[in-house]
Amino acid sequence: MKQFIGTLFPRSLKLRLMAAAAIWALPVLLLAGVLLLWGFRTHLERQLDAELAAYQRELLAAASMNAAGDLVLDYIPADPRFARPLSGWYWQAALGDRVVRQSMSAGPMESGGLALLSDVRGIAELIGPGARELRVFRRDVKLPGTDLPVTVLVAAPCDETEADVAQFATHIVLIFATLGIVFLIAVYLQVGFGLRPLGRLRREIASIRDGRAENLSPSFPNEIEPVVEEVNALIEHNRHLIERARNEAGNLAHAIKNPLSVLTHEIAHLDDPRRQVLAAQLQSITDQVERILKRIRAAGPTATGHARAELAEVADDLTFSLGTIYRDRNLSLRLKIEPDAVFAGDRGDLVEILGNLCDNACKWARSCVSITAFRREGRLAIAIEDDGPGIAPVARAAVLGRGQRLDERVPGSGLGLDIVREIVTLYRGRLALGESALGGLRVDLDLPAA
Amino acid sequence: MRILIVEDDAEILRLLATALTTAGYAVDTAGDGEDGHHLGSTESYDAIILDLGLPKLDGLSVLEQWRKEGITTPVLILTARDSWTEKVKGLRAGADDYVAKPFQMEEVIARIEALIRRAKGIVNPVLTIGPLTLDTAQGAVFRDGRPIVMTPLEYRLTAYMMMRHGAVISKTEITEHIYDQSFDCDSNVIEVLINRLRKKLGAEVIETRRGQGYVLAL
Repeated sequence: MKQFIGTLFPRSLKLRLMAAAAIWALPVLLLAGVLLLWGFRTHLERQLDAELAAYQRELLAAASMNAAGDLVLDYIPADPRFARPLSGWYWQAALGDRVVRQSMSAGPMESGGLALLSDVRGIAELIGPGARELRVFRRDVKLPGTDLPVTVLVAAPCDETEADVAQFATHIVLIFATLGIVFLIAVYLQVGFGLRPLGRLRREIASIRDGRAENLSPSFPNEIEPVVEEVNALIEHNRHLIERARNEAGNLAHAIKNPLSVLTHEIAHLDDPRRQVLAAQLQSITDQVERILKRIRAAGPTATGHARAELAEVADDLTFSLGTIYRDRNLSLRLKIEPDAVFAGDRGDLVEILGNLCDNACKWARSCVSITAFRREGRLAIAIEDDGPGIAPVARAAVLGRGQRLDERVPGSGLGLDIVREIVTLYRGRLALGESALGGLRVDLDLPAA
Repeated sequence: MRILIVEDDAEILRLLATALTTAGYAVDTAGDGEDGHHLGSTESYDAIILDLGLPKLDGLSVLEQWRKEGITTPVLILTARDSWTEKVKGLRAGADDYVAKPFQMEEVIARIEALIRRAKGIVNPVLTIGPLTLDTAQGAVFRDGRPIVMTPLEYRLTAYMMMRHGAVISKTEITEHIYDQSFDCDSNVIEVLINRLRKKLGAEVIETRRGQGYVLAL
């Protein structure tokens, strides 16, 4: 049953409204057609009856009794249909039970006469000569000069009416089918017009996700406004939650990292066998804590609403920072960033992604690091390259794993790449390691563009 | 070499102070942003270690105020805030280096040394002037390749004078850069220290300029 309703009212709002309109409109059209047809048929029958009555009056007016006491007709109807044999149009005049005269169409008068076509007074429908259905009007009157009743009977074929009705029905079906189609098209257009604000709602929500807007505009129709208000409230709530989670993460970081620093230092002064075990355990705790904190801090897409970050700006911040940190190395940091390279996401997340990758590049580079970013088919393509030793293809998958470090000599917790990969995955982006034309590692990022 | 540590966690402060003192530095400490800012503005340091999450006045504001006041002392930020957004903020505010907690003491000391060398315009961790060699990484002084045994105070003065090679260094400057705040300035103590150094390094190494101070005569 549910499935049936499901088919009847499809998931599309447009089809649903169309189906609902069709459900009441089609029976109404059908009923209107039937009523029209019935009215038309009644009208035709009345017209036919009137015609029969007119011929009957004509015949009665022509009927009189002669001196011999016989029924005579002074004239007969001139309509040629009464002359064509078995035309379906007949008349008869009878005195008592004896047919005195009849139309030529009903055949020649024979000795003994023809039986009256109908024995019912008034209108009747019956099967007549040639097995045709006839509509017969019979009337008995009294004429002066005889005691016997004088009967005048006029008949017309029913099939002519039926043919007219059938033709009319064909027209009605054509007209009503056209009407139905026009009606459905009108409903379709009307529904489309009525549902247009929903399309706008969808586009506005999409632009929030892309970071082009912070919340929905208040200019929606009254019926959708409550939804718009709820969505805006939800966005605000979400933003608040993220903000709180980030604050909590910051507080937790602060609270836990000082004791960890103290422990690290104290353990370094212990005797050798115990020191190694404790140092390894402490490092594992430290890594876990950092991983969780970084994960909490990553906002991800749509978390803060207005998500948009200019690549050029972020790269400028990072080259300044890395230039300061690696001042002694005299690295050349080359930027090639297209002006329309804008990331559709949280700025902090982008800074974290690029910061970690560029920091790695600087750690390993011999003399130069290059950052390129451009837009490609609605996506953002970023490449970070260095002229360091690079990573062998077989080892590339391993460095993306949890806290993996290929070389323990270069400082860093090894969390960089895997947290980068986690943030990139949040944005449904891709991270690939390869070989740079500069000679070292090339990291390719594919991220949503705003 | 004299260092200021601004850090609100007493245990971390104690560890840093002990380690840096052992490495041959004179160390002053402050437990909150206001004290830290005041010391950094009024005293003369060779480097400052600054926490960001500080009571009274946060570290970033302290740093910005120092830079606005024209204080160019190298600052190493040592903080629990390890996101790149915060690193960028700290470096943009004028920090010279950034180390995230939890930290390795050796790394902090190495970075402080590098900052001080850089501020004095010395690129190499090993500085050789005439027969004297200063290895800041090892915290040792050599004469003709042979190590000279020194107290931390003697090492600090030798290192400072070698880094300021060629300049005349006043007694006040020496006081400011090799003693911490608790030192009660007495010029006799400086003279005694200079004499001890002359015995160890050779009398001709340190020249006295009357009324001005001392100069490394190599």
